[in-house]
Amino acid sequence: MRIYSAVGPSASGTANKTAVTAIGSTAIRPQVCDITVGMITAPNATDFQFGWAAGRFTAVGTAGSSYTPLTLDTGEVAATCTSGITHSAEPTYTAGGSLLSIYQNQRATYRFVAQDGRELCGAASANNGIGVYLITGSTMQLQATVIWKE
Amino acid sequence: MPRSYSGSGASGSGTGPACILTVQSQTGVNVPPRIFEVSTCRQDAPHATDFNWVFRVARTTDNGSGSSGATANRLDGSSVASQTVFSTGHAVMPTLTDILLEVTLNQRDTLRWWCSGRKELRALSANNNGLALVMHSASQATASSATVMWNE
Repeated sequence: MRIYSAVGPSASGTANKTAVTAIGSTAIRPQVCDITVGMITAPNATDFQFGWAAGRFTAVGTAGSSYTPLTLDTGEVAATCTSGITHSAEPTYTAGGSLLSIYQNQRATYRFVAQDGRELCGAASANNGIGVYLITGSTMQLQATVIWKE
Repeated sequence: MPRSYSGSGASGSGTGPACILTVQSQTGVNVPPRIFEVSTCRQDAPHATDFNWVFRVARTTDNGSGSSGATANRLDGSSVASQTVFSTGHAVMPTLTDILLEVTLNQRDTLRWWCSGRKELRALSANNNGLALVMHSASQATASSATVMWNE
């Protein structure tokens, strides 16, 4: 089992704004085991809560840039999954399909760690995967780190 | 190997008690849900007057009246569909019995709780019994959101 990470901000906005995707293929699927999320922009004077989700998608949308997944162990081979960050066009998320839907204060940071065998799994299909995205908030940029197993 | 599922929902706004969501055995399909992960937070903007609210996870003996169409999602898409009734948006509270978890949260907090090993919060093995996540009380109007994960 090899482990990889991708890091990125979302574009600025109120929703929906994807920060990071882990994209599978017919050969492999990402099994997301660790997500850390915070707001990268300065806190607003008017306090607010924002919501974000981790969900499956069936089309990758348009990423602001591709991100080369990093191996946590440099002795490992490169990732088979690919990754995109800072999307200008949202992936097609499965309706009603959020695996995590989290609200937090603009000054807070949240970390999800899956227990072994309870990872968030994408489908083994081209252009399918798991994305982390802003679902509601004041104008802001989400920052996320997503770690997955292959 | 147990199968894992997740669901998300929110309570209506109020000072409580208000049900956020429930997971419940179906009639005749006696597979008690076992919760291993919970996250919860208020959805509303923080109040100028700071306050705390009380969150509970309790066993239920009925489902009250929740919305239909709430979706239980498989963590692994290759698993079979959930056999648990997942509900949110309750107009009528479920009947609560044993309180398994009670946590006080600041209005700006997000709680993540997860079980140690196989020590999940387990519903009774009886038809229509289950577990509820509840915003029990708050001194200011609160709409609380939660994600729950469970095994079957």
